[in-house]
Amino acid sequence: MATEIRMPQLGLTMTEGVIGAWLKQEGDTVKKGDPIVQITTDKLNSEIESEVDGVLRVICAQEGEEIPVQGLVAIVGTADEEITIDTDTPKEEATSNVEEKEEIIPQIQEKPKGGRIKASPLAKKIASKKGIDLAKITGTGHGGRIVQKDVLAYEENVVESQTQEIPEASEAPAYIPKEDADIIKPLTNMRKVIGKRMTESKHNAPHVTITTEVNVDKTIALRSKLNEKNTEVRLSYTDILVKMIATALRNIPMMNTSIEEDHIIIHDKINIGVAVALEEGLIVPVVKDADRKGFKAISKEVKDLAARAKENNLLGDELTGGTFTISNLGNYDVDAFTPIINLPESAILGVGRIVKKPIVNENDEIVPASMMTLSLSFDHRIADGALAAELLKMIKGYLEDPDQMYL
Amino acid sequence: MRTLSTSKAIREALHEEMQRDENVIVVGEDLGKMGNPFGITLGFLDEFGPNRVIETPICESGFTGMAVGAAMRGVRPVVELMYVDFIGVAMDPVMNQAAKMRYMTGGQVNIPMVVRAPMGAGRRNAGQHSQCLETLFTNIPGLKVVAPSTAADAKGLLKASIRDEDPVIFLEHKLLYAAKGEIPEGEHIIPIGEADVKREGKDVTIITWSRQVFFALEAAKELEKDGIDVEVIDLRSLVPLDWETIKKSVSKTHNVVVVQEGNKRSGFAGEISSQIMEELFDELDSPVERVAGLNVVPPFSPPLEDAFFPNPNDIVKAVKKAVNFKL
Amino acid sequence: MSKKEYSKEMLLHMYEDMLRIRKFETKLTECFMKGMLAGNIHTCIGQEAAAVGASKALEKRDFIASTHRGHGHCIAKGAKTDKMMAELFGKVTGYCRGKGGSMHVADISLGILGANGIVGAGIPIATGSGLTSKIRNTDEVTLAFFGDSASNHGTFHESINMAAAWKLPVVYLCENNGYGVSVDINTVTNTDNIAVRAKAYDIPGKTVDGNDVLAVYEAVKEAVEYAREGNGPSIVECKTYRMRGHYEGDPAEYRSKEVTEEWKKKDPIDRFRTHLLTLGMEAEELDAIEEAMDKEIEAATEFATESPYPDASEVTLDVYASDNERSVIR
Repeated sequence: MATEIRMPQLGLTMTEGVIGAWLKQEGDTVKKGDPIVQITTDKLNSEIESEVDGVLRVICAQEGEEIPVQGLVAIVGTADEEITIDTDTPKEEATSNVEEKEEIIPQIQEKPKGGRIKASPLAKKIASKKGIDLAKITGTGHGGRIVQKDVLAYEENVVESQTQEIPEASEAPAYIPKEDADIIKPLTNMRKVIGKRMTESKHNAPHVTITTEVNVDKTIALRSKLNEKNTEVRLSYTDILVKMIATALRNIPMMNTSIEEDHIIIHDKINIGVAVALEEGLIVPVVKDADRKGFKAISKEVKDLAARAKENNLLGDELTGGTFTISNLGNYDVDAFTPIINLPESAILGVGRIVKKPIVNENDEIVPASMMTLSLSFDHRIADGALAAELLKMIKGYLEDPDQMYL
Repeated sequence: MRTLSTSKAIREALHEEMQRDENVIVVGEDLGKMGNPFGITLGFLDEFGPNRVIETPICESGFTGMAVGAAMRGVRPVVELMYVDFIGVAMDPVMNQAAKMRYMTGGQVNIPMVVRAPMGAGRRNAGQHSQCLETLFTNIPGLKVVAPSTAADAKGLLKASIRDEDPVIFLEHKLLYAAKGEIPEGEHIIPIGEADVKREGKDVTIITWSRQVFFALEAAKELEKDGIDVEVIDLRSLVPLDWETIKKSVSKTHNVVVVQEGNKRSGFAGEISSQIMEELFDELDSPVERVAGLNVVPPFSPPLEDAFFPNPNDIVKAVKKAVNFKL
Repeated sequence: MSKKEYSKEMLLHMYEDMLRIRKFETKLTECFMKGMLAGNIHTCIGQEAAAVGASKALEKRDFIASTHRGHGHCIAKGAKTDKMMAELFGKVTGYCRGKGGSMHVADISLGILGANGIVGAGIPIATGSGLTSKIRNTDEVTLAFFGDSASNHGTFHESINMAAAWKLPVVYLCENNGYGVSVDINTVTNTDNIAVRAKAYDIPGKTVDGNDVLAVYEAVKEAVEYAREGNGPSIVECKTYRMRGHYEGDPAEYRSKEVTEEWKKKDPIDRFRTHLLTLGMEAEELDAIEEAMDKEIEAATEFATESPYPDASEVTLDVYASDNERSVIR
């Protein structure tokens, strides 16, 4: 009996995968567990392994092709058996059965449906303000909804438990205290993916983070001026930075690169990923060809991508192909941080908040200025400090005098 | 303070305004010797004469349209529909003439006209004499819509409506005509567009108007026994809407029940619910509940009619659902 | 035409107003074809005598309520062609700041209670104006223009019944052009004339040649005086014909070409011009009036074209006289 190899569901948000390089060709002998083809999804690069021993008989999807989850990718069989190809995606019941077995059942208490935590808008607002993870709370509202009362009760309990005596650290350093009231919550696929990718990046790419403080008075003025004239979209600082970074990368192509085993790819296209925080994790939709787009187009695109990211409606290729990433934590009152590179990209720019500070100007006077801290993490395998600093300096230059961009 | 029935309070408002301003006239059926079926204009014909008390033939379209023409000339007609249900034959002058005239003429013309109309179920008047139709009017730009509950509110709001430069639909609940309430002495005017918190509470807000205000207050008393502290907002005016009062209350209680007597589908309760969802989403601790009449024709037979429109018990149930109250 | 003697000034004034209406609407048809006008344009080309004859029988203080085919009524009652043209172009300088368009021109100071887009809706409005004059004991007369088809509307009966019962000073003027959009009035009404219905209300009713401006004037004058003296309403029916379709763009194929050609020979302006010439007026004098009208309409069109559109922010203005912003926003 031939075995159909189908596109696996590798994450909650995954609806399709893109076929990468074929590692085995038709006619090759494969063993169970052998990787046969590379795939990329919205969040990660992976491989499909053969489920059986046999011969790769038919390749049903070509490199670059998008295949829906459970769509047919290949057929493995014996060397001489007759193969019939059924490209239909298996019926819904079959898929959901698998899902239920793998994901829904263990999480049923907190996630009654589709992995979503039911909480009232007010409860969500309060929890987010107090930094409480809703997943740790059991809802008492209608249909198990977490309501305001539940969040407040949880907070009270936590405070109580924190004021209890803490066991001596020396006794058992590896010991994780587990109380009855604690909630054990399996990692979601999204958290698993984020965890895996962040660990890989931190582990494989030697990170260096450099920071600089920028006077953004002129950028603020530019933004106000543009927003005054243009009521259609409101430019954010992120939008402006996407354009500035893209312009800078055009000038310093060595920072618009990826590393792959023993070679570096210098990308022709400049595609800027914009980190968007979702309730369940982080996602990085990509603004393609950002250097060729204007502020307005970028702003519209970023808003559209972010909005659809929040609704889980992004297309696969809107999440892939990034060559550089920006992460703006300014809204959260963060000054500076050490962002982790979104591999295989070579660098990421962390953006801090804008804050008024006294600075000394050219005339040695102390004057107020709006300052922002930029943190650039780069992969030391690709670039050295001098090159990265050059990029940072260029972006800084644009922020301090946006007219520079057009030179 | 004096105690008056709501019908007497309405009569007093009309009487005071007719005495104050000779441009105020009343127009409608049976306003003369009969003084209207509820005694609202009793004695007016003798006092103000046939030029101010226009007792019309039975032709709602004709006399409502006529009132629009008079209003364009600066008269302040108070038109009476014997039942709001009769708007069916007088909709064009209200919807296409009175409501639109100012806008269509670029602000040249005002229509300072009031359409008073008794509404509501509970008198076994069956399908064509028992409806609450505020939704028809709130959907029409250019109309103001008022629906008071108490005698004092009815008086104060009718006076404000007569003095208003815009067409005002003034909805009176038939079952409230006999309800008595205290009326402040002297000039008593309540501006259109101000809601009234009829009961303060901290757990849940009931937003309603007209007769259902009393039902909501009854329900609140019942809910008190279970320790649920209910706030009751009497909107009094539906257009313009007193959003500030709604916002303040919802931001305090975080749970909302909107109650209307008229049938549920496409009702004004749905409109309020939507606005709260759009603008106060993060304040909500439960979905906004609606309590409303069934989507049926008002029936005649008492047990059927009683099942048709909401009663205090329906409100109690909805509030308990909103706060997820369990015994 | 009428043997009565009228001042030359008045006759020329009637001629001028009919031409003013004709030129105004002819310009509209041109602009419409060039795509310069939006919306529905209902012209009264061929019916000018009814508008002018009736309005000339009114005093300045009197009122009219008009219809969807109201350009002629408004111009005859004194509306300025530049402000009207601007309104039809949707410009902020128009009578209604561009909010009403062709079917809603109004100017209370001129006694124009508004054109009206709903057939039959102006009749009760005029009746209300009549009621106002009666209860205030003032002597304005209100004239309701309406078409043959509106006479089949409930508002016709409801209004005239009340006006007759209370002797309101209203003249109900029916412009019977034979068609309700595409429907021949004779196929939906049993009587040849509308004015015969006056009998049912026990009020005067008269049918006149609606393309004879003096015949219209005389009949309406009589009805206006009757009303002003406190005797109550009358019906005057003007038999006429609209030369163009129901609205611009309607080829009016539901009517026979022969009948239209017959009516063309009875054009009210041509007939009146012939009458004026037989009275001894100079062709040059009449030509000069026509030229002046051409110029006026050119200027009005230029004014309309060059006027600005209303700012989009005006869209929410003037829905309500008080508390507008709050009442519009939710």
